[in-house]
Amino acid sequence: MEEKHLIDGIQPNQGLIYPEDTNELSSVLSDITEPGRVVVPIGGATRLQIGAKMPTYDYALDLSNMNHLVAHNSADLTCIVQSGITLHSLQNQLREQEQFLAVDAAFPGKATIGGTLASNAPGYLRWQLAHMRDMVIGMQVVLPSGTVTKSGGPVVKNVSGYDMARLHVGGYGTLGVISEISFKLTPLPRRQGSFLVGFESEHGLQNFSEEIFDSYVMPLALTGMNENLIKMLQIDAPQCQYLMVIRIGGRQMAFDRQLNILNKMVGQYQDSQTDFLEQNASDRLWEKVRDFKGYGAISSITGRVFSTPTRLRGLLRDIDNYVEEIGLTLAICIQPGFGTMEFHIDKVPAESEVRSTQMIERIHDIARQNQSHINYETLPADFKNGFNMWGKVNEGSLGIMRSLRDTYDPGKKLNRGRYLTDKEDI
Amino acid sequence: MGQSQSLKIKDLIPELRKIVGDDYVLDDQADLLVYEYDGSIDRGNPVVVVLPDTAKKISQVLKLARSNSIPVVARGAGTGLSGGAIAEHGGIVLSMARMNQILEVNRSDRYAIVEPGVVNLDLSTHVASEGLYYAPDPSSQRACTIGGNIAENSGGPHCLAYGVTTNHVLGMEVVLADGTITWFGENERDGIGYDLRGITIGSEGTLAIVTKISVRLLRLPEHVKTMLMSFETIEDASAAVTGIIGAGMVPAALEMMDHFCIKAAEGAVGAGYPEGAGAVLLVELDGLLESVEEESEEIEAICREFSPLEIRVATDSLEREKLWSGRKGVLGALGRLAPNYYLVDGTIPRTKLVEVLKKINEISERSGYPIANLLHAGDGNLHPSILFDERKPGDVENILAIGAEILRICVDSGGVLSGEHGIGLEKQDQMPLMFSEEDMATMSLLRLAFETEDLLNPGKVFPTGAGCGDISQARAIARVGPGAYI
Repeated sequence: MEEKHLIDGIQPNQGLIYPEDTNELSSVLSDITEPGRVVVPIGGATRLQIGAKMPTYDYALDLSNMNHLVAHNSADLTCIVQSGITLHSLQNQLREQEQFLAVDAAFPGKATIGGTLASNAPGYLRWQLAHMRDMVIGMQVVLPSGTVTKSGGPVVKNVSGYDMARLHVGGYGTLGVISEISFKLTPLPRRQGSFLVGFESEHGLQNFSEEIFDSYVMPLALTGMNENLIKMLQIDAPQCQYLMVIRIGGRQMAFDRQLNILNKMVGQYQDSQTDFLEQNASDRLWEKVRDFKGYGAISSITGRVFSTPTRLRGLLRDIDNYVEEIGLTLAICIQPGFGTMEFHIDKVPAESEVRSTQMIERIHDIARQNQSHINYETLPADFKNGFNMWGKVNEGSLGIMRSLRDTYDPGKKLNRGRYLTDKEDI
Repeated sequence: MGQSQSLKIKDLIPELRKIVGDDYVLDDQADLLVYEYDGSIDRGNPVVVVLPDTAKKISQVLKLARSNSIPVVARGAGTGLSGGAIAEHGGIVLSMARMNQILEVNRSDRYAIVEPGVVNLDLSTHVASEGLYYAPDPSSQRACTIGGNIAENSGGPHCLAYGVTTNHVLGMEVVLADGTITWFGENERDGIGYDLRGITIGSEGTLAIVTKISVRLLRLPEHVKTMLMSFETIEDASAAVTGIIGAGMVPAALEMMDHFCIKAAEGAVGAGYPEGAGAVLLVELDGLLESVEEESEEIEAICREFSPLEIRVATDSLEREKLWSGRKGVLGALGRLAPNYYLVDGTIPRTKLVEVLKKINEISERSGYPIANLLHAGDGNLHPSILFDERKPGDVENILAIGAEILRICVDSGGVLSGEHGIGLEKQDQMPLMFSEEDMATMSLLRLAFETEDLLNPGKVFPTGAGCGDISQARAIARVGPGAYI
């Protein structure tokens, strides 16, 4: 038994299964026929903490042996991979042909492509603000019954039948197990680097990010963070309350031009300080940012906010004020272009006057007041019972989601009771 | 469509008038004629057309239809090329023509909320003064609606760099088959739960009726450069495309036209294409000035490896529009070469362009039917257009068989049945070429999860049962109306 198969401290009571290929995966699922058995597909186990606490589970379906790059058609900028390949392994192989997959996620040495897609993992590298699902052009999925199905294919444009892959990106493995994916790829920028700007106010950070999106700069990634996160990650940055990191890339002349635009723009901010990191230093910085939610204690609380760029302004301020008011440390990282935010709060100490459950519910309220949505990703296991980490989904959509779940997994074999719920299955 | 269905709907017309208003229910035969067809070969007769202006009214119509087991087909501008908007089983056609308002433009958050009947180009025109645009640009963008684009997940020449409709829709208000009004996604770029937004896009109106759409808006580029490259043969042009993509270049658009298209476009609009060329490439780059200039130099260098007859760069916006006018007008211009054409839509891996175009040429020579090749070459999206005369006995049967053969070649080369026109009625019986029984059953289950009555656009996407190309052909021939312009 590996630690990675423990979910909220619970180990599988029937065993571990390591399928080597799609056929084996299919056989495994079709052979599990006893009613009530629960199977949890597992990739690198970097995001297994997300979801409601299961009372028990039967089989850990570990896909780490399905880890091959099946085909890389570099002349066509496409590839096909097995779902258990790690992001690190895939990107290394693609790099040999000066290409990459515009998807990233924390702990790429462990995180698998399948798990990254299934858990809709956050990442900072968003080519032209595209979502990771936009890189998927085909998918093979094994249904809970063991049936192998596919949609799409290794071509970049396709409207043949329903776009079934969409259901499985962010589906947390509740409708089927992703076994193979076709992706479209992106050429590696010839030059990369990061421009750092420190601000003394949140106002400066937000204004500058709006200006960037109004300019002709096309960041490969852009993030803003507060002082607590800068300290937590031990980033060697200009002294500031808020730091913005803009990763740019391209051919040399285009790269220089973007750098000039940024330097000119920042000149208008009197309280700002800047720095520039060449590719290697820039890569190291982005690795820290990417993995930041893993730097805290196991007992910490992490979450993710879905919003719009302008709503993030109020939300950031309100959450920051509240957490400061109750004397805790909030580390935040925003992606202004995408309208999302990641946060990390150390667990409320036992002697605190504010109870932890009060705090997470109050933060939920603050998000709602700012027309935003919070999904708590990490909560100490004892918090999980009775609190819905996922937040509320509108009733109309939830009805269809329940119907989909009933249709594809009527026995609730996959990940029962963990998704979009705090107790019963959706 | 049975007579009983027709009588049942006639009985409901007073109720439909009550819901949408007297002026917005059409049941006169003369009025219904224009709703019989779309841009494809197919025909179907609705019993009644209603033109609602709110989601609430659509909900009421759907509840009424459901309680009487009447099919409902949503319709945008009717420019679709696969029969998606055809009332194959009669029933009610729900025209979105009155739901044509741009409801909100949020410049800071870069989105707009529009009704489904908004014409695609109108949105870009509306937001141009803000320095923004809506990226998907189907060739029919002057007429087609954003609601229709969602049904078909439409593309366009510029989706090579910017993606198709699904990559630009943030959320949408929908009416489900039971009349429930809800949102799938909203204005955020990400969220939790199954991606109902994504699965609904491209579902050809079979899962829900879309009533409001939140779309991403992009910043207009600083610089645009359009180049026309002509080659002696289509093989040279294809090899140049493969070379460009293989070198890791992704222009904003990379279009190809063969000598038939060049001739037709020149005759119709005088775009300045060299008539003696075997093929031309229309390449557009956009972005930062420096980036565009560097990339265009590299593309020129790649193309020179394939002995171009000419490389021409548009010097101003007028010249750029002229070059594009030939591309955008070429389908209409094919009428100069033959009374009818049958446009096929398939996608292949871009490395297979030379091989597949060679096979299409062999089919043309063997069958005696000229095939004009128009391609979104950068995507590997082929549009071979078979020229024929429907008045000649046997021509319709022959060209449908040729179309099926071309699609088989696309699938055999690792490609797919449709790049941007959808399956609709046209290709439903060819689905088994690409999908196993299990694949299609899994898709059917999706439909059932949304609605169990099979009343939203029934008879589309899935094979009719036989899964046989011949039956598909016979059905297509039966549907083609007299004088149909394919």
